[in-house]
Amino acid sequence: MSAQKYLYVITKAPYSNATGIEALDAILIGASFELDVSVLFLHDGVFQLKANQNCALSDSSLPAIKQFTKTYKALEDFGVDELYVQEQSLAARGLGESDLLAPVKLVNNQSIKALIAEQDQVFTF
Amino acid sequence: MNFNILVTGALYSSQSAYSALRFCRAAAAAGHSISQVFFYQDGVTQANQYSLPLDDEFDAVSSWVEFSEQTSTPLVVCVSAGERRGLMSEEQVLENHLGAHSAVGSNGSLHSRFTVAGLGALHQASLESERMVTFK
Repeated sequence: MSAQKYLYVITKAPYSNATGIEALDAILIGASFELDVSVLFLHDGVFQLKANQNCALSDSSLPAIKQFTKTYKALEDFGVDELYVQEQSLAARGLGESDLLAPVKLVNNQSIKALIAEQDQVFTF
Repeated sequence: MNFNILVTGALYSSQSAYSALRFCRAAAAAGHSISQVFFYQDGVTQANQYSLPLDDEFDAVSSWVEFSEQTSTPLVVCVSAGERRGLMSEEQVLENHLGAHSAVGSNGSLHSRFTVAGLGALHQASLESERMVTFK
């Protein structure tokens, strides 16, 4: 039997809330179960992948939420197959593929529909 | 059908508990089963035994407990998400040397009907159920 397909959808921007960092924890657990894991960034979720993030504070105190987004770049090493980004979400926020910190696959609503249809489970954050 | 429920919305400030409970009751009444309800992110606050809503307000914690008692559905709180937000059993309070100097007191803030587990428990349950439904 082939591995079950799990899709994790992230819809919130980083740092103003803990959604991204806690979604990432769930994704890493999913990957450790040897599932067929992929991630979809939707709406403000595309900000998670913005390159050149800098949480360092001038007085070297800790930021409210630590800079965790570099882990997205390492997900490939944990067996995560693909990072999908909804192209309209990216364009609406003045961003392009070259603004992102990791290689992604741009998808439109039509392909998102097909992507979700082929999953065994979908987690939305 | 067997459902795995994920609740991520906060107690009182979100409608997640209300919607999730209505879904769970309707599913149970229709002969479906709920393998477990897993509380993650701000959803862990729904296990706080010290929640005190007004008399004419929805009591999410008591409603979860009642549903769990009636249907034998396990209520599971993510251990790390809970600890970050002060949701702990008495054992966790003692293990972390909190107790008397802590706002949660040595009784722990976690209602005794809820258990704690890692995110592995969420994934294990989802593997064994046909559908997972998330309430944000």
